[in-house]
Amino acid sequence: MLPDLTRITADLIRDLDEKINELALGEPHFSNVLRKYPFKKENFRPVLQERAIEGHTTSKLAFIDGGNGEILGAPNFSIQFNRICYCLFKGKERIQKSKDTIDRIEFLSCTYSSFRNKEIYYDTITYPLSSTFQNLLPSESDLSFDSSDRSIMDGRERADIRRVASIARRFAEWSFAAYVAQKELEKSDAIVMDGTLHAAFTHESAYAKKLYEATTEAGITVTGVAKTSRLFTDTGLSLIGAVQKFAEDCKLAFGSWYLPIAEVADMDHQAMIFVTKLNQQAKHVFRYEIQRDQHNALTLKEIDNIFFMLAENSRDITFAGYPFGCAVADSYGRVSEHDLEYYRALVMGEAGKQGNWPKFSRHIQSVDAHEILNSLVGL
Amino acid sequence: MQDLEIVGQVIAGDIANILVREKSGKKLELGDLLVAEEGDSRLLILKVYGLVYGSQVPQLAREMASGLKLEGLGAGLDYFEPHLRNYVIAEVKAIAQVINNKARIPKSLPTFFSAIRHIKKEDLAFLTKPDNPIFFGNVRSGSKVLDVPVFLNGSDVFTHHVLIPATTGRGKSNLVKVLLWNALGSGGKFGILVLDPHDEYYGRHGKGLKDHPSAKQDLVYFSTTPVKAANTLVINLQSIKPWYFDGIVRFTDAQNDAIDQYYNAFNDTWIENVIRDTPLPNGVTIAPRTLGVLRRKFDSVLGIYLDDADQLQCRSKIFSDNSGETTMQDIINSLEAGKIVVIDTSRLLDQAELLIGSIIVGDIFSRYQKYKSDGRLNDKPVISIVIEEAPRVLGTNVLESSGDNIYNTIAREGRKFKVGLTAITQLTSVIPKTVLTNINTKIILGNEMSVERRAVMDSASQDLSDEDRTIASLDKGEAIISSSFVKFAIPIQIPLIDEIIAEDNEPQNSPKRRVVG
Repeated sequence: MLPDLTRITADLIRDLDEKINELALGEPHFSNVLRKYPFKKENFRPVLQERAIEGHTTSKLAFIDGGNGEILGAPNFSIQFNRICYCLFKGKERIQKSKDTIDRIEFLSCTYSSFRNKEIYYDTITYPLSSTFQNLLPSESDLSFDSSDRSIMDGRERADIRRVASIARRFAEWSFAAYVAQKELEKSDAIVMDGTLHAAFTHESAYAKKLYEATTEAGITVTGVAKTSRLFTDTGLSLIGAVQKFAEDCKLAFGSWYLPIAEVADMDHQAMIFVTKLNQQAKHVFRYEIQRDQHNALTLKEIDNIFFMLAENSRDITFAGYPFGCAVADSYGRVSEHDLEYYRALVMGEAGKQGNWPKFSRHIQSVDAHEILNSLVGL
Repeated sequence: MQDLEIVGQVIAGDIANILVREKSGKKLELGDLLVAEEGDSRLLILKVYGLVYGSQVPQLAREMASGLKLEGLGAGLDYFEPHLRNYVIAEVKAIAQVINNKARIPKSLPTFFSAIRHIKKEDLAFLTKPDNPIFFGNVRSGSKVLDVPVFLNGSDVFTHHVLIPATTGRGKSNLVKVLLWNALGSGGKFGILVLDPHDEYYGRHGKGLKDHPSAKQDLVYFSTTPVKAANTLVINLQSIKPWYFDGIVRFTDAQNDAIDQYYNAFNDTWIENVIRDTPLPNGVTIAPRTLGVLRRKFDSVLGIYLDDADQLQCRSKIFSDNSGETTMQDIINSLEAGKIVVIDTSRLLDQAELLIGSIIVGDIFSRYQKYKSDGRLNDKPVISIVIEEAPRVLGTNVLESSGDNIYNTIAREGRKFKVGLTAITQLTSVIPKTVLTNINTKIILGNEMSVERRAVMDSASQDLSDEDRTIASLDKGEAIISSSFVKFAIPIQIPLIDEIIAEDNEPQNSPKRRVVG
């Protein structure tokens, strides 16, 4: 007998509706923060127009983003192609980079496993595609991880080597941001990182710290926009969804706003967390973070100015409310399958030339059955 | 190449369809001639035959953005960096490769990512002035006219026939006037017969060929209602031989038999005797009904009849039994002297006009055949017959139903005897391919009918298979010359005849810039 799909899906939706109870939005849920800001209508602050911001300065925003992809992989090694880019904007206008500034760094990395001290370790060697990138890449000693390091583990599972392989790119993003700040930015400008300012991996906070120190000295603010957020309220709702609902309920008089959520002061995460709607036509609101110490040193007008600059950059009609610079940096930094194919051919060719391919392929075979099945069904 | 000159960049494609991203604000046009420089003294000339939108923004996002704007929800929103994200891609094709100022058919792609610029006068230095030059117009790039005159060797072009296909209002008449104007004063190199059904070339009521500085010596005008110093068009019936009707007027076997009998019996006066119903000698009889039909046909075609006083009359006053004895000789002698002969046929019926053409063309063709056999042809000027609505004599239906005619014969064999056609038509598709392929120069004007464009493209001397939209978009006076005498199909702008007349009649100017020789 065929299942009654209509009834089953109706039950499913009804149950989910019951479980998501928006009547009780709750408050932001954080286990370890310095300060939480309860949902209050008066906490919403409008994104002001420049004329409303006393002492407004048109500052630059530098957007940093990167990507990486696996060229060849096995459980015991992962060869990756990494790319990190930036772009500069002043409001909606793109600013040309200085002539002598590197606009991207690209490098190959090889993460491999080894057994020492009765444990599996992952180590990574980096190979810059230009010698000018060398100083911007993380130290290889910082890219050595015990596979049972909690910062890289997935629950109780040993970390997947591909996750570890992406850490080199993440560290390089911090270094590159510091480089861009030094070469391109000046006082009252801001950096917009892709994602949060959480330096989650072991050794990562050292790279973040270098950036914070360099920028604080220069009067530059480090921020981050997260495309996704997995934060919750203490009633189990998604934080982003709850803020949107709360904003609707408040019937705000302004179309674009920002709302402080929490101040975090961990060793590895020092941030003032906001949720912001950057355009009144926007369907999305985003988690936005400003480095905590830098935030605390800013006046309200300076904070208003940062949100104004960000909102000005978020008026692109194809994705209203999302900073255009983030989209540009994402497209520049993105690693395509086309890129990977190119490097794959080079790497495999060289492996064949050196007679190593049979050895590598034995290990690759332990994870490529899925791909073979995909190819059999035409995927 | 200077940055300011760059209008686009090669981004993809294949040999038949090279894709060029347009630089923002440069507004490439269909038919634009572009250049990819390939190093010292080497360049590729490209032609735009298609324009499409390109965008970095996915279709769905564009649709949504448009919706926001259209529905009034997009206040304050706009495309960031629209010049980078939304653009035009030109589909181009290499039409010539120029190496050390010599053009050849291109066999390679431009360098990938090479910068593209508009064509300049210097790039076309290989377009030199040939012997016996005839001016057609200036090189045109899209709608921009370059200071590069296009001359072809008139002897080659006219003997190998010219086709001028276009619909009404695209500048056919102006083109013919320009060609005739520039052929005038050739010093006897071109004898051109113009059957002018609209009486528009001489300039009876305004400016025209009569205003050419050489008109007095080299232009001859015949009309049934002549203006001062023009000739009266009267053709003696004795000039008309039976075979001149071939392919023009359809006769039954019985009628043809009757015509033969009368011609054998009365020779040059055969028509008069048919009209008068003169009995044939030796007891030969023709069915009265057959003769009756013949008389009616001569009445309708030639307009001749017997009046109540038994005198032969012609309604159009063109045909006569007692005058116009030298008309045909005068016309043919003028052509042979390298003059332009314009015959006003505006008061004639179709068939009468074609018959007159047939008489003249038949005679001049016979003469030229004889000159060839005598070895004197090289001393004679090239002859071209300008025929409007060419399918009247070259159409498939006509040729199938009425058989060969002198025009068709010239289309096939005329070049051997330095006699060619300049055929004007709106309906190229009804002319047989065998005829079209014999016409080696086509001056293609705008045409909105795809069937007609296809017929022209299929028979062109160059591969014009991608030019469909370009031909459809040709504005008045814009044309493409496709000829076996040029390396590539050259887009041209034909000047207005009135401007040429004004310019060439300014006291300080002689018409040498455009005239032959």
